[in-house]
Amino acid sequence: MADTKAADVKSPTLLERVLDIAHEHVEHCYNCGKCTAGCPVAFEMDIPPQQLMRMVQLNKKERALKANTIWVCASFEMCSARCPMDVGVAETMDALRRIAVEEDYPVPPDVKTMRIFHDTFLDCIKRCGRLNEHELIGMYKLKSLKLTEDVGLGIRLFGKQKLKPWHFAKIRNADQMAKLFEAALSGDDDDDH
Amino acid sequence: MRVAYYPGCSLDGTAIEFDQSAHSMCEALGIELVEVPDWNCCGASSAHIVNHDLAVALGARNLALAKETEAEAVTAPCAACFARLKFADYQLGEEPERLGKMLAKAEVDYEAGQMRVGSLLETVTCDYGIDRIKDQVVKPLGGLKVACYYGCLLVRPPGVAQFDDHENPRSMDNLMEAIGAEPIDWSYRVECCGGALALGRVDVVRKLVGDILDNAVASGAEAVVVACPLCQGNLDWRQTQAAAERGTEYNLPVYYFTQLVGTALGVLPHKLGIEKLMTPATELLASKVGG
Repeated sequence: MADTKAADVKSPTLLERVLDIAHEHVEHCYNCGKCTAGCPVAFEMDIPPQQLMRMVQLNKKERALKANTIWVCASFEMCSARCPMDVGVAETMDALRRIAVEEDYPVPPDVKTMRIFHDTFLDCIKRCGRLNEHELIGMYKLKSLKLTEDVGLGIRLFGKQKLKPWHFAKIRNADQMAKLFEAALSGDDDDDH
Repeated sequence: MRVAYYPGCSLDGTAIEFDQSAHSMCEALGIELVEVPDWNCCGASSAHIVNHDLAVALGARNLALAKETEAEAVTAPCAACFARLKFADYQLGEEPERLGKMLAKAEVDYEAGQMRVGSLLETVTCDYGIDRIKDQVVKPLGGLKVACYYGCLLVRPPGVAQFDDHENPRSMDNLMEAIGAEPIDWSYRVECCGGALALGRVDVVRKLVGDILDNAVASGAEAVVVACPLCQGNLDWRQTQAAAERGTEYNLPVYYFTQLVGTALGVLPHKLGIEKLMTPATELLASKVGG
């Protein structure tokens, strides 16, 4: 697709992008609300799952991707399991999150910690191939400035030798992790956009 | 019975007692666990959040390595690890060509269906069989009233997990009954503990944990049983916080099912890591099995 024609090419709608990334047919949703009814964290969401599905149908991209909803989602999967039209609501959330990250949408302040958590988690496993929980917790606390939260709990876990800062797990073939991340994140479904 | 064993990162850290008790229980049952060589993190709560292909690649590398054990099935004690491994296999079956190319670039040699993936709960209840376990019980649990908590990923999404009933699962309840415990009827067996929000939104986790424990207590439970380190962590470690928030006390031990099955098979508490649980759990169990 030629660069000069870029402006003429209609950019894909949110519905099309979700179909492309997650293979989910959000157009089948008739807004019954079962997803929202069964969602354990809907009470924390700016826009409940059912309304978010409607926004995908209506291509309300800004509102959908700037809501805290996609970051509050706990991947509980009750929404997908109960959907009468077989729409993977949780999988749609994953796709929307991916679009929001790729297009640098701002993360709402109340869920910034979730973005920091996921980024830190992936940094850890990219480097070692394993998740060292003490590293995840330490790095997360530094980046999120949640330094005093759960200090007591941390000490109790340390006392039970569940957190072992002296133990650092790493896979033998750690070089493969970089290749694996590269292969996955440069996926070919980005090639045609 | 010989099975490839994928412990997962938590079982090498905060859920060390799940690893200990899984090994001890399987040894007592005569199930040989062969650890997947050089396994990597499954990506758990975070890889699929950002990119499904990454989640598939991380899972598939483990499945490729599991093939080297020459076992026909791989078992994962952790519900999240199980879900990620199973998802990788499922997704590869859905899009073999595109994802196959991606795996080739990642130098991962795996095709859908080459390994059968199960959670340890499934391996024990379905492949091994509850009746066989019942025959080997030497210390029945004396009617210990347990709330079997399945959470999300053992049974959902149903098309991928393909295990038990996703709304009203019974496998853990049947297993508990077989070892002399009394599984109670309650409403929160497949509710959400907050899993992925464990560090990022502690306030939400405390609320969900409080709701679950309230229902367990109201339904007459003396303890909760789980099959997932995230569920265990949230329900056990956050228990005092959730209680304080509601001005109550729970004092509900949260056991891994492997610890209770191991106990019933006569394995000693220290080989099951009972003392590692945060809410005091040793005395209640000892009082039920009679020392």
